[in-house]
Amino acid sequence: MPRSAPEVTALRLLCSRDPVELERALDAIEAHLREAGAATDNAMQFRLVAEEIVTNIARCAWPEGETHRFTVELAAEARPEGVHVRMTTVDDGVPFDPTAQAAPDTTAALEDRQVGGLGMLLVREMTDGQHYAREDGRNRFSVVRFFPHAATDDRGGD
Amino acid sequence: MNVTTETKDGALIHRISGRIDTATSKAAESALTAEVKQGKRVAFDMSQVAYVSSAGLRVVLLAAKLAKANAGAVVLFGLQPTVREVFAISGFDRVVSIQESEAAALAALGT
Repeated sequence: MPRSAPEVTALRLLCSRDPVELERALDAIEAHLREAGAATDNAMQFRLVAEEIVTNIARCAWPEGETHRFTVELAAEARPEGVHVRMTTVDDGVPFDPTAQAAPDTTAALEDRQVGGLGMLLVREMTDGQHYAREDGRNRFSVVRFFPHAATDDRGGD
Repeated sequence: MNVTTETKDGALIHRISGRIDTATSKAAESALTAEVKQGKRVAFDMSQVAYVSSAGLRVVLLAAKLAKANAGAVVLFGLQPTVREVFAISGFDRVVSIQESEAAALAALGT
């Protein structure tokens, strides 16, 4: 009997810092997850995670005005119980460990609220795991997220 | 992203559709802050918004700050569950008024 191994589909993108190109990359990521069987909501949630990560690299990894490229690898594994997603970005910009950033104060009053750091907070809260390594002069950042197939009433409020 | 604006019971309602993200945040900022800058009382209809990233949160925060500085008001209503989650994670649900329905939003604006 052949064993049915989980189906893994991978997407590898080479991105520039150009906003239009980044938008196309995010479209491709969302479409890839939909094709892998992720629900619309889940594909959008992961697009948000991807947006925060790639825009941060595009904006901050190198001095303004310089042209650089970085890679985004997306692997979606369709399992019977759901879709497991891993996204890894690799860039040769300034060392930046997203896992070591202080969380913004989300309890501050309106006047004192800042938006810096919110993107990475969303990434941390909307993924199941994050891993950073500086290897060979490159930032390598991975996030994983498991999206279970919808059961009945699985999105109850809290 | 698209914004249409209407007046109802003396309040302005910005009906927003699409994504409020990095790509649309500039357009969102100009569409959603012009009236609050003038101290108007404004409701954001979020029912057709399925996606707000940190770039979109920045616009909402800016609108809320401008409203406060200019003696106006901003109230959001109709948030979809995934958008509500983003507001909850970021703590924005505590600094921005969020109402369940249009009627509740208009009541909160006190118009």
